[in-house]
Amino acid sequence: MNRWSSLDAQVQSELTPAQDSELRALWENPVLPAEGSEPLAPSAQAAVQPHPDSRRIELREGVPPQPVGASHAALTLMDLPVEAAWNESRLWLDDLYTEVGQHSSRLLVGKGGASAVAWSLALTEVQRAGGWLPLHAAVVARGGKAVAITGVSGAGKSTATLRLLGLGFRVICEDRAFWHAASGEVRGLDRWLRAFDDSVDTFAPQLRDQALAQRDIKGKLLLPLTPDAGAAQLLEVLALSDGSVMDSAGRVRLLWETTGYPLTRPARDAVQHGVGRLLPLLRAQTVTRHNVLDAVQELLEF
Amino acid sequence: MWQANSAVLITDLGDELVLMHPERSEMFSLNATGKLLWQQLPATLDSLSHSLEQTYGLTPSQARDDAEAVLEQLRTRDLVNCV
Repeated sequence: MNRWSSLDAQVQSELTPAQDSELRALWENPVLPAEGSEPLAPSAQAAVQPHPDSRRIELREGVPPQPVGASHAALTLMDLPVEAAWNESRLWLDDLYTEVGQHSSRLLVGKGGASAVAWSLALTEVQRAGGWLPLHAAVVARGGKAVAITGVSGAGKSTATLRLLGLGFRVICEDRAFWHAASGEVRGLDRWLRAFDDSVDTFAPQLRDQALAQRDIKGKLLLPLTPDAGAAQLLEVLALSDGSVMDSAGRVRLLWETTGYPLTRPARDAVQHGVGRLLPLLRAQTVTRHNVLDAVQELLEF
Repeated sequence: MWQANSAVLITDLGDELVLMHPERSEMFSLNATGKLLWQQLPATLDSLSHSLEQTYGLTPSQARDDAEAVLEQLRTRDLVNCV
């Protein structure tokens, strides 16, 4: 059995080494590689160990039970389809079955394995139920204080994050953030900030030497992040847009779009609570690509 | 018996309740009266009307009209149903 940690949960995996390795690359708590070295293989990482009484996530092969009396939907994530069914705390995604609980969750995968999309949806649901609000947002920090930056695709989030990294801020993640509603802690599960060569050359040329030799599938440079360099509390959420002021309904909508829609009851209960707790941290006035750096610096430097 | 659509996502803003229908991506805001009714679901129309009578000092007729109006708005948006 392989044991690793994901956010505050202890994962116990009986999957094949190949399956386990794929999940760990995306879901294991990242650790800082030694300076100048390539990232450590998941098996070599001394990830932060959760408390012995922490949440548990069990991963193993098995025969998923058939959905009975469940709601059904054809979902799409990253342009890839997945057939979903759910009923109370149970979730079926193609050939992956998940029992979602606040303290303990169990995932059973059929012999044929499951798609990356199914695993992603299932594990996101499990983390939601554990009190972690997923945020499609970049998070930057200084010391123990952090700010999240969200916005629709093309709003300038990636460029702003790159510029902040270049200014010496700690980037906790580029878009896979998790906020713990009970404690206010924010974490990320990204290993790298991805950026095209011309962006790095324009906005943070001093970082080019830090890029890994390998690139992502789009040919972007991979700049190592330091997500595990200490806990950070989320001070504020900034929405990148046109500088307009959102009304309360608009702020609620933005947060739901940023966190995504849960399916199972434990996840829905936790996220509804979490969105209510996060709402006061969302600045009503959106920021623009021209003033986002000033806004972040004001929040984190004073 | 009126009951809430279990898929609806709820955000409590204190004096306002924001409901989001995840499949339609539509939002609906409830004021204090709507919030009072929503939080009692599942419930009968009689029970909900009585609650408005007691809380706001309405006549039985006024309370029933108000409850029916709110429920109808919610029903047309697939936020509640009557079984």
